[in-house]
Amino acid sequence: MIYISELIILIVVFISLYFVVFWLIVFFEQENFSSRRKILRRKPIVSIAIPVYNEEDTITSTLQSVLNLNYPQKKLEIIVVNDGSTDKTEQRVLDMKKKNNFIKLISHKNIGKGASLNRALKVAKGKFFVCLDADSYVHKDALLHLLPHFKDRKVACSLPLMKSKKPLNLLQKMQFTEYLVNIFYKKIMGFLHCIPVAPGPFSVFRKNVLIKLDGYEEDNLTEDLEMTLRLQKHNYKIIQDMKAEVYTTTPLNLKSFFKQRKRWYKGGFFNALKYKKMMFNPKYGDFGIMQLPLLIISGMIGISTVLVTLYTSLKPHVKNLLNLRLVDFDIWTFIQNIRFNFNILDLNFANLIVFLIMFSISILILNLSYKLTRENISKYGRTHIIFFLFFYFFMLGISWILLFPELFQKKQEW
Amino acid sequence: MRNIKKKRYLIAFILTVFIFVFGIMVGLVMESQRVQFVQDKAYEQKLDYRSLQFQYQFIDQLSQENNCPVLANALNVNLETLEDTRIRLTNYNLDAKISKDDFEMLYRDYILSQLNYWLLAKKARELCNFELATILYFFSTDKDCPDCGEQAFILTYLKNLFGDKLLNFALNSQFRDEKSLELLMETYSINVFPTLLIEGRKFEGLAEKQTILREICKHYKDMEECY
Repeated sequence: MIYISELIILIVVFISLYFVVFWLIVFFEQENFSSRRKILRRKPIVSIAIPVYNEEDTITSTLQSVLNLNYPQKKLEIIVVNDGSTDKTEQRVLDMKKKNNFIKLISHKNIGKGASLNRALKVAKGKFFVCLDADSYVHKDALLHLLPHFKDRKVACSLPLMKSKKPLNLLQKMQFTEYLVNIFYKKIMGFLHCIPVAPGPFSVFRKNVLIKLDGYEEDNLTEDLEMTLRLQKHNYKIIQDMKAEVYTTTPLNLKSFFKQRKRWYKGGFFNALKYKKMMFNPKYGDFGIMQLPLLIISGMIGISTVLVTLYTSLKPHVKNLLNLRLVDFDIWTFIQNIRFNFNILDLNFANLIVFLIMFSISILILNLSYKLTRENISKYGRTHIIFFLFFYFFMLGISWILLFPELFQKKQEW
Repeated sequence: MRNIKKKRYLIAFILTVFIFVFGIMVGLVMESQRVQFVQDKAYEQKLDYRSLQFQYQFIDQLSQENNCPVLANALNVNLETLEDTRIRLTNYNLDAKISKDDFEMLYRDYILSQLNYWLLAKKARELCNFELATILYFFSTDKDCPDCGEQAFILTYLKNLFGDKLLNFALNSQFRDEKSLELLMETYSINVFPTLLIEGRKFEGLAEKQTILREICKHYKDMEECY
């Protein structure tokens, strides 16, 4: 078994390293990494849809951030879709509507986010359609940065820098870092037209493309991912902007963190299967060959990493703990005789070198991510960076493991 | 139809392979360093053994019994180093990619050292009236010895408990090509693993803590741990 676990580690490390090296090559190939500021001459009508379900605590701030947008209000259409909220969300929206009567409110029983967005899409008058989650806040200049990308007629969607709101604890700080690294990767993926998901917070779509593709899939757990895959299938371009910013709320505790990740990964897994014909299909370029399979491969890497790490690191200790029964659990005798007898030659240098190279690459990517997103790496201290580098992958792997049994249920609940 | 730059995939593959090969090369260089390290240790142990032999003969032939504590101390220090080397050698041998033969030769050398020390310890005990017990532990790293891990755990515990009053000698039966080990195993008809030889008395299969305690305590006059 020890040899199988070593082999699994080698394969996992090789695949992970291969992907990282691949994306770094793409990064260093690009001369103009930061997108040049394009001037928006004409200001088209933009419809901003905010689907809400029990968001009484955040909806006012979200709406206020939209109202603060540096964009003519007469060119903005704000559509709040109340998806059967049972709290005071609707009242909060109505209060805002009193002062800003151009805010539209659609209310209906709970039908899900995808269906709510389709309702908004049906009434939207804008040339561009934006979805904004009710737990997110947009920077006032976001539209001015996102809209100029649509000068290219093949562009169907442009994405802002999705940053996490000011983190309060270690978990949120790690997610803050993760979001920045994701932006870095998305920017590189954008060069190869490989962006796999246009997330909920403030992705701008060309509305006629959304209508042409029959809108959002209503019974999909990750309707944003599904829509992006459909855009990729029809060879539309998706652009990651590096200036427009949107801030989203990240889970504050492990329970909601794992719940969110399970939903994302489940959506990723089943949507990847749904579009399996694109997988490894050269017709879809790097997206088909590389990016789509990665949605499933990343899960396999996550699961194997956690299981093998747990197996190899815990097995000897579990054995020793079990063996304690043979000596009447006399731990004290062992503790009294502990002595350190370290020799540098005891280290596994082959693994250590590969680990050090991967670690150096991770540091490089981390620095680039912070630099390109204009964040200071020590803004929230450095402890979370260490935790992010050494433990975060483990948490993502655990999310996959928690999800694993659900993947084989006959009836899949979206 | 989108374009794919195959060259990019190829370069990424070559670079990844290069990093892996680099890691493996460094690993191999370190493996040869490990062989060198164990060889140096083996040489040191031979010198230590000769020194001990001299001390023993000095005491024996010139009736210098007042020097017995020095001999006891040296014996224990040497055996501790010997055990550390055994553990390292076992691990290095498991990790070895190209130097397996070298490590196996060194392991034979180590077994010989152990047996020499075992005999010397027995003789020194008689000469100096040391209050100590010796255990020869025959084990196998094959799957045919599921209890060997547990037996080693119990012996480690007892060694921790009795310190220099108990001398354990772990002998890997897979090196029975070494004639001295073969001789020992045939003499005592060692066919199952684990087997313990406690002062000439054989215990086949997993020997529990109490069983071993009962046996070794026969060789101590006044040890708190025996009550």
